[in-house]
Amino acid sequence: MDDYKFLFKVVLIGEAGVGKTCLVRRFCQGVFPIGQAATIGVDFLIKNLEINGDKIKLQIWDTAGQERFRTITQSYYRSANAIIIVYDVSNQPSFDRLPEWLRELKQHINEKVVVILVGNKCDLTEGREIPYHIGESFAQRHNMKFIETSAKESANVEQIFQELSTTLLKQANQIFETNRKDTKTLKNDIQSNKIYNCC
Amino acid sequence: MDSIDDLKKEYDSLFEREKKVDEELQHLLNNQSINENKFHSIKSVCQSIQLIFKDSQNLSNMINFTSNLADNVSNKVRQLDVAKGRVSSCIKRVTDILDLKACTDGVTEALNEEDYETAANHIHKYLSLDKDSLRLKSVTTDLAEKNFLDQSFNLLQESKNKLQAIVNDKYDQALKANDVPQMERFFKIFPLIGLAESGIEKFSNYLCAQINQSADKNFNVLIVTDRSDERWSVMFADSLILLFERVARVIEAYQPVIEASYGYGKIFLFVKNIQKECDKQSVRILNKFKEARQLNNILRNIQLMSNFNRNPNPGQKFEDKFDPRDLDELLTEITLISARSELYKNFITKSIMTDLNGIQNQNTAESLKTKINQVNSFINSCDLQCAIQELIGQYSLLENFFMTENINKAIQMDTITKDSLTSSVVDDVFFIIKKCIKRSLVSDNVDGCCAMFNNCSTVLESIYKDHFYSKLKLGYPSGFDLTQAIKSRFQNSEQIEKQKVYFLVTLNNIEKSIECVTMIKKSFEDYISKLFNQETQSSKDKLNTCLNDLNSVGNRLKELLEYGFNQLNSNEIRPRIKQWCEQYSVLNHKITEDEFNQNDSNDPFIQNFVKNLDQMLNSLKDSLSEKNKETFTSLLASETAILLEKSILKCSFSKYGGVQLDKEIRFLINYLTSQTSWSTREKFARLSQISILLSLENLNELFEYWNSPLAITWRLTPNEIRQLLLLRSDFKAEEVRNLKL
Ligand SMILES: Nc1nc2c(ncn2[C@@H]2O[C@H](COP(=O)(O)OP(=O)(O)OP(=O)(O)O)[C@@H](O)[C@H]2O)c(=O)[nH]1
Ligand SMILES: [Mg+2]
Repeated sequence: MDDYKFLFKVVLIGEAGVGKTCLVRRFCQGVFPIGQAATIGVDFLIKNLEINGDKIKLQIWDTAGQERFRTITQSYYRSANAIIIVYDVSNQPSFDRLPEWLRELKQHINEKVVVILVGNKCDLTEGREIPYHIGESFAQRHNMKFIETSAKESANVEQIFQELSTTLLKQANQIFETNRKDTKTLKNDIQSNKIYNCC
Repeated sequence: MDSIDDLKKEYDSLFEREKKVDEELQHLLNNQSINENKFHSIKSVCQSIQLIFKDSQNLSNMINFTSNLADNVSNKVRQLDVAKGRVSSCIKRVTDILDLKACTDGVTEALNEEDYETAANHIHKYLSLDKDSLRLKSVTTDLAEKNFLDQSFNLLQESKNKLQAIVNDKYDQALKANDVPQMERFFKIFPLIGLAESGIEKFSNYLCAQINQSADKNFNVLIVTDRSDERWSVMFADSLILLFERVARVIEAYQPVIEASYGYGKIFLFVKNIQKECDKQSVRILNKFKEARQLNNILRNIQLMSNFNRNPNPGQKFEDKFDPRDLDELLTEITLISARSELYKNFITKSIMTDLNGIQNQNTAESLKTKINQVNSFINSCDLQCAIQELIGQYSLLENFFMTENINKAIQMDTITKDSLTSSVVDDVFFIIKKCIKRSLVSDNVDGCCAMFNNCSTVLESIYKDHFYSKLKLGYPSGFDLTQAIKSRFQNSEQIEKQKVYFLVTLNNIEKSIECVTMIKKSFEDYISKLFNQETQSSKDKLNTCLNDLNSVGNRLKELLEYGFNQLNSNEIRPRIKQWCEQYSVLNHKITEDEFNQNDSNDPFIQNFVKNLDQMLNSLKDSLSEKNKETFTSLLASETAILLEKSILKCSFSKYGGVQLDKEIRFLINYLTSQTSWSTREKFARLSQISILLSLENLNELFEYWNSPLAITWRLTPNEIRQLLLLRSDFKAEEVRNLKL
């Protein structure tokens, strides 16, 4: 059995063709797949990371962006620890649909879920349609981290996962600590320290 | 020479010399024979050496000779080799030319006789000839040969074109006449004359048309099928399987033919062509299915209803809120449709793969892998599979709705039956869950099953868990709870009794649910490994990961159970025990030996205390499940230990008061041990040690227990020990404080 301190579920969503599968393949397998076919259903990959000495395991769910396949995706939102919403910086419609994605998310997830906005294909300088600051301010308005990436040129891809893992780890460690403290105080209570005075 | 003396001297020395010379001579004479022997032997060696010299000269000559000879031979062999090579290439050339001649002669003759197979075989031989090298060599040879070659090539090229035209034409004629044997005849000829791809194209077009025809017939039957037909509820699944079987039969029938006449590696192209028709036909059936079953309509209604449930809007009403039971048949049919297309998918995948594996001398393993990837990606993204995947998505919405609605209903109708520790909701809900999961497994679609597992976890963690939480939140009504809210809510005793039962049943429900979740997970784990044994490892991982989420549901339920027992503890157990313990602190514990002996026959505390505990245990025992009973008894024991300790601290003891306590604690432990299977002693370790301290003869006796070889593991800190010893009215505070612990 592999050992890890925490397991996190990460779900990638976003319009078809924005490069979700390419990002995941780049991150997990270090390749940029040529002629990547559209995802049908949900793909599943595992990646182990070590952050500040803590071993963590990422379960990555790469969903299909095509509208007709999306219903399956919904069932994965609830148990997700982090959501990556991807758009394509060279494709205005993929950015314009973001509010709809957020609305759908809101129906299924709670506040603790870490959401990060990713503008992919930033290598396409010529065809860029969404400037960096537009993406950034959208993310800020909706309380999301923001990052621009290129799966093709392997720019910032690691950072997405690094960023969200760090946040999740901080969260998890906090809960872990308070839980430990709770059990400690409970024990103290049972030993009824309070009813003994100090001599 | 002057004197005699001198002469004598001279004589003596001469004599000496003579003697020496004699000795030397003698010595030399002695050696003479040895030296002579040596000399003789040297002489004979000398002769031998001369002989050897001659011999080696001979040998060297011989070797030289042999080497020359060998050189000669190998030279000849080399020449022979070259000659042989020339001969064999000559023979090949002659054969080729003979072949060519035979082809040239044969093809014309065969064409004249309309023996197209023979003609095609000649052309095939011609096509496989190494034309360039035949021509290249002819440059150096005579002109006649060159002319012959050019003529032959031209003729054969012409014949090839002619034959291609004829075969195409004949095939088309046969197609028009629907003469299948003729078509099959020419289908086998295509690959021989360099028309493999178009042969497959043409023939699969024909097969597609055939499939189209029979599919049309089936479709027309399908759309007029009457509701009264016994297969009505699954008629679309039936219709699809008819189509799939038809297509599979075609592939099965022609795969051997193609592999025999076209060689391995062509089935992918063939299946690709046939799949086009299969896609068209199956999508038509699926569209009709959606229309006939009003799928989009239902989905829209469900969407509205779940939106309504999320934020109810009183103005909106669902007049025709349809019954989830109506969905049952539809869901079953979808899973059948999915299962059948999955079966079909496996069939075509296998057909293509066995063909690919038949290819001899694969270029590289890499190229085979790329090919396999191409095949998989083709199969997974063909129109049929996309349509199925879309349908499965819709299915998972419907199934989730079906499950949620039924679970809501089970919750509404939750009833407690007599003689049952749990209520109806547990069995009902897990029946539904099992039913839905099983049905999704029938679909054989990995994503559909994963979605189903996810949805099950969601439902259990939300509405199901919330239902129990809402019951536990009300608390366990007991005379001891002063919370105003609870008091006002349950005023009459009948309601209070009812609430008590509800509370305990809920504890049992949760405990049983935890078990059910574990069981479901386990049984489906086994099932999955059997069912999906054809799937890839990653698909299996996916399924197991989603199924594993049920673990976290189990954990949430365990937390809820803990919450319930905390409620029970603070509402019932603790206040009661606290009251009984308070009686202890009221009693006098500074008793004399006489009083202690009297207590023997007239117990002041513990018998009544145990009787009370026993009553409380018995009052709940029959209403709790086995595991919950254990939890409850354990909780009771822990609380007793804590609260009794608190009461003891409020008292003052004589030695006999301490001895009395020691006796009482033993009695209590004996009672509780008889009530459970686990050891109570652990929970009472502190109390036992307290009773030891309070029943000490004097302070020095403490050191029999402290720092001695018999020392016990103290659960009390030195501070606590001092404080406890101070409870003994006869111990001097000063001495207790100075104890070196
Ligand atoms: N230039 C450029 N092209 C990219 C990049 N990432 C992905 N692409 C291309 O975008 C296309 C779609 O990529 P996918 O990864 O399949 O997109 P997806 O979001 O997974 O699409 P769906 O599975 O249909 O939801 C492919 O042709 C990729 O080659 C990138 O960083 N730069
Ligand atoms: Mg994809």
